[in-house]
Amino acid sequence: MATKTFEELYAELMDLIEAGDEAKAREFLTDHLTEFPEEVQNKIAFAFFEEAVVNQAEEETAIRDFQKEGIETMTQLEKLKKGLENDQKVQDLRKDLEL
Amino acid sequence: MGIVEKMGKSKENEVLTPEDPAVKQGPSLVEVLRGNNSRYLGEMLKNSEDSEALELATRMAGGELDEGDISLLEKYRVDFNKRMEAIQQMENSITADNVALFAKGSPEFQKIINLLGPDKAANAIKVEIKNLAFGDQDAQDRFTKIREAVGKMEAFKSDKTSFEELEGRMEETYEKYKLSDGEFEGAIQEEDPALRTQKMRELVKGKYGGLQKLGLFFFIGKGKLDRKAAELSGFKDDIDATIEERMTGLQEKIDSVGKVLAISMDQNQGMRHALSREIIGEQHPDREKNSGFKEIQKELPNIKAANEGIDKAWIAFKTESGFDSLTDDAEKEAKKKEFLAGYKEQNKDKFKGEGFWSFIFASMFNALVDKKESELE
Repeated sequence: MATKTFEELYAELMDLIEAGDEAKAREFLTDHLTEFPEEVQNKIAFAFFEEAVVNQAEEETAIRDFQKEGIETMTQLEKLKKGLENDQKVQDLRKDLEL
Repeated sequence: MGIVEKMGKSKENEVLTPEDPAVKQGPSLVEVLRGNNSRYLGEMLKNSEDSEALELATRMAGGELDEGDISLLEKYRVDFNKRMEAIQQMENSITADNVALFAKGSPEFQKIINLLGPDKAANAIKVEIKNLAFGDQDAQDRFTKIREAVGKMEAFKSDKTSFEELEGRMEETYEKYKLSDGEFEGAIQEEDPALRTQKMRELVKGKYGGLQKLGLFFFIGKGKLDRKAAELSGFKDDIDATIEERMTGLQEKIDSVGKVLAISMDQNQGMRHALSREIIGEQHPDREKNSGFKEIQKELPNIKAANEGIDKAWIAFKTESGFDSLTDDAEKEAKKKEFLAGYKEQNKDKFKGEGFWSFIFASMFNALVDKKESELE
């Protein structure tokens, strides 16, 4: 397959944008990355980096917050378990006293 | 004696004068101006909202600095050095190893790393980071956002202790509740939230089944048994009621635990990210909006017109600037550069939108304009 010129790649990308298909436009950038001039390759790489790092930090923060909440909940469940075990001890004691 | 040498002399004099705290803040003005990053000082001044800085940048670009500018440049040197320091700190985080870490949530960026190689990708990022740090206010805001995100990622990476602790706590919890991974996964994979909650509840309650049964197996004589059974049965009801009451209050939290455990225990990245996306689902519309796709789509006719209009604009510029009457090649080249820089500046507002696509198209548009240099006659 013949390598496309920068101008041809740019025109194709514009067509995809015009057609309103963002997913295809993004795929086009990664599929043809090495055909773009090096300077543009670097810019494309940076754009994906920026998006990945900012989004991922958001997701990681959300996960961490959620995990923290999970630990707190587990602590509560453990307290619940202890409470129930105490109830059982009272029950056993009453049983022994009645015997 | 040139201006830089004069400043060198001025610097020597500074050594003999009482210490100014600003002098200590990074490389001296002479070092900045002679260093590899001197062009970024010009960029910083050019993009400043301060008219004094802008005028200084113009004089700098035209090689028209005078001695009076020394104190002005010194004033901006401190800010320049602070930015360089922030860049340096961030660059230390942009290693080939770390770019893979940054890519773990983005198959697209992962693909790019695979194509370019981690070292080249890291270098590309470093160059652009510098451009952002010395760019206009929007660029600086992006720089700050990226710096914060990278900082968070680094913190997560080094936060192994708490993560291991969390995993340990989860294992402990499994044991206490006598839950197997399989049981838990089965419950957590239930699509319907109400059913999922119910399954989780049954799993946790299952643990207490043993407690409830203990009282019912007590046996001494029929009369006593009936009495005891009734009493114990009532007691069992109390226990059930206690469980019920406590469980009711914990329903939402139990459901949360399930999600958390599922996220952490899951070995599959895809599922982990899908879950995390589910958790922060409300942010997604914003994120999509922030890619700037719709904005760039709307701007596309204007961008096309700008691409097509460059030859016409060049002809107009040539007439206005008297290009054809120039005989010196260096002067002609300088005029071409002036035209191209002006053309990019003139069309800058077409890429003012925030997000991925504005950046992509601004980069491509500028690269295409730069490419014209060899074709201009």
